[in-house]
Amino acid sequence: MEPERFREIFSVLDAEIKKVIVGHEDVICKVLIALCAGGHVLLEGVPGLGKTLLIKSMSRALGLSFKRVQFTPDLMPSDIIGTQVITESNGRREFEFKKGPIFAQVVLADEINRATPKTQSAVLEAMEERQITVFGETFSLESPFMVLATQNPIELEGTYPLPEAQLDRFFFKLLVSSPSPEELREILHRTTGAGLCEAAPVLSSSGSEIIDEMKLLLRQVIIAPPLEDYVVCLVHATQPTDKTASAAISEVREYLRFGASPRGAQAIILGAKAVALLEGRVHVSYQDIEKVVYPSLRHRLILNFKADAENISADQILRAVLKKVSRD
Amino acid sequence: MGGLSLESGELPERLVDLLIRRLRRHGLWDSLLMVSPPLLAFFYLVIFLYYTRSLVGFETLIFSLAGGLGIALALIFHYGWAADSKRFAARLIDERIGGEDRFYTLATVNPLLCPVFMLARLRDQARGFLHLIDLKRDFPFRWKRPLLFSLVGSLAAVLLFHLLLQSTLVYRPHRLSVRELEVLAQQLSQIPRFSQLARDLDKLAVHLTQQGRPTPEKLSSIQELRREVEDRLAEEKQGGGGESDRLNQVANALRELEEGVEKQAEQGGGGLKTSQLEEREGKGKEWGKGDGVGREGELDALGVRELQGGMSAQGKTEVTEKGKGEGQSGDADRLSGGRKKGREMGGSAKGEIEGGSAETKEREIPRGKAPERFLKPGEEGERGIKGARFVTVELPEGQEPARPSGSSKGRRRRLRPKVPVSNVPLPPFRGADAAREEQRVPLEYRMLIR
Repeated sequence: MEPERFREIFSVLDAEIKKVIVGHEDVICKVLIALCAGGHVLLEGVPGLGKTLLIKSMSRALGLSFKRVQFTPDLMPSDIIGTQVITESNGRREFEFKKGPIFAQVVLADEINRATPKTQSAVLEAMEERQITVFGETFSLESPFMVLATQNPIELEGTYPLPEAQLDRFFFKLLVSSPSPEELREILHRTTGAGLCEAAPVLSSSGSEIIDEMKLLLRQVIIAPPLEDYVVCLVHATQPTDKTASAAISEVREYLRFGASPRGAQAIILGAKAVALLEGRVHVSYQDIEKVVYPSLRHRLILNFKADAENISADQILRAVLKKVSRD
Repeated sequence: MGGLSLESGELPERLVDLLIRRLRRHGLWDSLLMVSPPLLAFFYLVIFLYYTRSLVGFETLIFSLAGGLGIALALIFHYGWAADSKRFAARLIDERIGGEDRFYTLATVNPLLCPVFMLARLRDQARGFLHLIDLKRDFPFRWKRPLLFSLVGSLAAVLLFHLLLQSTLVYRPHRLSVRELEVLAQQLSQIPRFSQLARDLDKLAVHLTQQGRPTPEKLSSIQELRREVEDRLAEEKQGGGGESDRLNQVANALRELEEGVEKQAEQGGGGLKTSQLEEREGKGKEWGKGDGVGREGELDALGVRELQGGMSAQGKTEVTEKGKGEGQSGDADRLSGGRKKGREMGGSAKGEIEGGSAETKEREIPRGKAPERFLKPGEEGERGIKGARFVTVELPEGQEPARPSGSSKGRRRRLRPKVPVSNVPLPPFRGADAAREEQRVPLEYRMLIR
């Protein structure tokens, strides 16, 4: 695939999703970047902002299989993964594995923080290994596989915050904000009128193949060694225990319990490569890196009690890190 | 762009190399211009010191100049060549043309590790920006502010040196040291027919450094040898010998020496500049035993040299024989400098040796009245009789000064008692059967005492 084709497909998908979703350009772009990079996305926002609709529209536009799981406290892992049921055929009873919704290509885990940790962790293997092991039998998931989870940041009663291990498996964490008055007016026009807007498949051939080609191309984008060093320094600077890296950044020392993992650095570089391709370049620049630092690292920083007490967000700490870490 | 442009087939990253070369040249010029003024100032000072004979020996001059030059060259090459890296140059280009790190990536990436088609695309994109840049136009050589600071600083250093020289020390341009005499003697001894003359010069050097020799005697020795050298010089010229220059040099040196000794004899000192070596050998130890005029002149010369060389005077005025008195005089000499001392002590004190003067000073210690604490009980001191048990107090007059009637209205008129009262505590009586006096005078009585 040529870089120009990458941009073309991307812009077509983007336009199709925007037919349904009003505003949230950055969220749409980042979701598509995560898809091209083969990552999963955690969307955080209050109910009713169109998170579910965005994901449904994207899968429809791509022509990928889509399943939605509403996470509740009584949801069991088997409800996601699938279970073995006894079936009878030709007079013989045998166990047959009934696949759960995780076997779709795009899985929407709605309000993922409402399920118990046991259920949450059921998707861990699927997210990382792209396979499911049930009763000793391993099933591969169809490519591309993407989990899009949503969580509500305000209704915290009866919720189970996602464990760090699971949070780390999300490529991006995107914050979905409320629409502006103009956007809200447009939403009302589109949703309360006679015609209903729905995304249609836009890719002529199989969406899976195209996405795989896009993934391959993205990994071939050139990144200069000093830029890789910059990413390493950024991630390293978020380690509060490392005196050499974070000594200069007081916010890290003061408000962080744990810093970003190597997966954070991988997400930054892949995300920056995708941004570079979208901007018509075949090499990564410093600006590309800085554009994806926040969504790549904000969920990987574990804040301490003091940060919670003083209402310090991960984005504030990342801002300080970006300011302090020099480019050369 | 002349030598600073890319050929059609050349890779765009070559532009980065061209810029690096250009920036290095700029760096070289910068460091050269930065280092030159201090270097020239240093050369000037070294040569100046050499011609004023403060820096002894041609070898020292050469070593100083070579050392200065070496340091300057090291600085120039260190800061000139190592100034700019490839990354820096590439970034400059990107900033200039808005290349979005294209040249930066090309300059730093390993081509073997990149996908070929991606690298080719990147080069194509970079080539598209080449028309936007002209190295000569976009990266011209600019004078930097530190260059001015360097120039001004160096000039200031030279001026300051001269000011200090003129204000703090007596500057004697043509004084010859004994060490130089020895050097001349050594040079002369290499010519067989002048070996006797060389020996005479050596003898003169020894003679001049010997203690206890009066100045007239030294002067006559110098004159005698000078005449001999001049005779030999005339013979050499008549005979067409090739060593007349060397003899001329010796004659000039002796003439200078003679002038110096004469001048100092007029000013009240011996006036021979001694070498540092001799000073270190503890010449100061013998000052106490000296004989007067010549000795004082040597001290004079030493004082000047201490200031000239900017050296510490410690160790040069060791005191061994007369102890305290000499030490004091030695310190005074160091503080005021030999010349000042020479002037102050001129005339009657000229012939006095240091130790002797110190003894006189000891006798002249003023012995005034003994302090109060050394008085015996009953003796009268400035504060009255020591140990007296009563004190004299001034009693109130009993009348207030006259005041305007308006201002005194409403005020309470104080009646002052006529009875004399003292609130001054009496000193404790030290008798064996004396009662203890601990009662204090009440506070309200204090205002009655004026």
